[in-house]
Amino acid sequence: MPKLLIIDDRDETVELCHRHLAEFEYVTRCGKPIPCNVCEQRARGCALKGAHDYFEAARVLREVERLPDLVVLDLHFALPKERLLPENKTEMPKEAKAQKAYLESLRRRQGLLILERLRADYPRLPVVMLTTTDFELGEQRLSDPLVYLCQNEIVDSRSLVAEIRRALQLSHKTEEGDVFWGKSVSMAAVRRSLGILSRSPLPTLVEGETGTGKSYLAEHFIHPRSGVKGRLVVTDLSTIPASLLPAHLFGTKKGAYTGAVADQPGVFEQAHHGTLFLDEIANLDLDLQRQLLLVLERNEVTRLGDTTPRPAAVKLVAATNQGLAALVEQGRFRSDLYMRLNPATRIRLPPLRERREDIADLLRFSVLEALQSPAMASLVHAFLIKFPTLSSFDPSENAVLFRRPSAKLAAANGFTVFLAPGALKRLVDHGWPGNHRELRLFATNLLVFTLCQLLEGPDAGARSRAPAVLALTDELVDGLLSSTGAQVSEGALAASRAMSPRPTELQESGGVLVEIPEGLGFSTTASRVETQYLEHLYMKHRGDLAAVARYLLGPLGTARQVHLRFNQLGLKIKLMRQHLLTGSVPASVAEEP
Amino acid sequence: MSKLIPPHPWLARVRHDLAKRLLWVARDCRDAGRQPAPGELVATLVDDEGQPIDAISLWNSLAEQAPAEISVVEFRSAIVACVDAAERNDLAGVLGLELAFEQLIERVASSLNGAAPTPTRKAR
Repeated sequence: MPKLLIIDDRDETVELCHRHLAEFEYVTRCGKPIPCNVCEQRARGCALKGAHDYFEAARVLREVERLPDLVVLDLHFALPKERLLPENKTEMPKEAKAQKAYLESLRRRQGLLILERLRADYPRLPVVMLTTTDFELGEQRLSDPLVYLCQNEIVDSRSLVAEIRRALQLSHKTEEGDVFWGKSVSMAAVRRSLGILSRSPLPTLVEGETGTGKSYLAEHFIHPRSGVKGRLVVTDLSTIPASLLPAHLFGTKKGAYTGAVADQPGVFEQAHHGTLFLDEIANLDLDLQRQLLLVLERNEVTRLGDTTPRPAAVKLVAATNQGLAALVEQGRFRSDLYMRLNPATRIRLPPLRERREDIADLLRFSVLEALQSPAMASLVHAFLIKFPTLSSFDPSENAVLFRRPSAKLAAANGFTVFLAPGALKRLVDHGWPGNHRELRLFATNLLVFTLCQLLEGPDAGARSRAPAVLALTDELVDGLLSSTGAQVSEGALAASRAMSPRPTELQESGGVLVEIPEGLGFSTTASRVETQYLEHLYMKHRGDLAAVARYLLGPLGTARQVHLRFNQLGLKIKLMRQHLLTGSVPASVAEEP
Repeated sequence: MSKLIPPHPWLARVRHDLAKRLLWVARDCRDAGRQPAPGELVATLVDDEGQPIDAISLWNSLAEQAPAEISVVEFRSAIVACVDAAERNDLAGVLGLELAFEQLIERVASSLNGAAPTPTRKAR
């Protein structure tokens, strides 16, 4: 049920909304749990039905547990000067006539000043602004995607109600962001359930194999729709050493242990009034599970070494790629914590093999995304230099067609990627154990090899313009899918090496020898090379994943990214850590993915 | 009242501070197809600072700011009629202000069409 906050100096708008949108909830200043429509104070001219100025609005927004879905904000406020923004009226002229004009101006655009202040505290709060024309608002506010104008100032019920409904609909679309739900029945059910659960104050438990998009949904769907005021804090429990987990979760007081040189809030405190996404929750040991349960029960957390509890009311989203129910039966997960995670409503994200009808669309998105990614920019640029085929290159015109290549169908100013229907069928039938993550890597591999082969091929000769067609060959698709597929051309490999300067750098500093048997095909060869390279980096950096991340990905690289990649490749950090401690050098500790 | 209103600041002020308030409940009743409750049509008006003020006093203060060449006598009569109708709970009578306001818009539009901003009555 959507929740509205009306900010207007008069009560007509809130009365109108009560009458015509009776099914909505309203933010009131009385604190009563009952709706205004059934409150006996309503007929007595209750003044607490909404907010009449910024100060009342700010107070009520601070106090509510869940933010409203929409704010209806008037533009003009007939109020005494002390109730007008800005609080500090240093610019107010001394002379009476000028002072009157100044205050008049403040009153006429008070809604804009309120909006500016609300935006500072609540950047994602959708607002319907009651105004006559957008002329009154100026250029700046018109660019705010979450401000909807109700331009009929002689507000009638139909126009206002229609505008409120339209704004709610649009803001929900904005909240869904780039989530592609597809056509499968299972994902439609997930969407319905998550739409409800995201608004629930109870924890949401998401189960799904690796790469099914658990954290993506938490970030792009659950958190934006939850209505919580705080921020989203994401933490992957599998990437944090067990000894550091308590401090990471609950925070530390200065001096709690050697190295605790400053007070440090844990993720629960950081996510207070927000959303906390705990990935791989099954990785917690039993003692930490007990502590986690206490925090969830009490909505407060005590830092290590401290005695003062601090507020930690979070919307918890817990994710795992293991069946928690089975772990409970095995005694590896506490049943009381499991029950606290609201298992009755747990969401299971289906793997790609269970939503094959969506694979074509997902592949299209992945290819288009890869073509526009910064990592591919150098290859795309090289292609455009060698084949000056496009008169005015526009990446938004890139297209993916599932049919045999045809120059007639190619886009005029963008890449057209052709994939034959037979190859698409093989992709749809593939198992995709790495799910979306594997699909995205696959799409990037397809493009890299295709572009490299074209770049290594003969020059275009006369630089005549022609459509930029990338035909993804069946052989390449098969080669990447199977371990006995087509061999990578030497030219393509050379070009690939040229794209990746870091192995060269490493070679200069001692070199990395990798052992690859013959005839493994593209996919397996690539993963073997990468596996051995990452093992080498792990050992070289003495198990410091953050250092590996910085080395591989630059200053913005995170340990979590590297750990995820390790997981995808089947690299077991626990085993590698043992090898590191014992000083032995593993041939390879990776399991076949 | 559905006409596109020219963005004349004085007209916008009349519309926002006075016409909108007087017509609000009546329009809502008409749109919802319901009869107004006794006394419901009587509007509560406020001045700049939110203090209660009657419709004629508010109009008088607004009329002082009107462009000099606009005849505002007719609209004053319409306001008086509207206030009377509201006290009698006469929905159609209150809604009569819509037509009067449209006529005021037309007078403003035609008199100011292409002309430079003019001084207010009070200033003259």
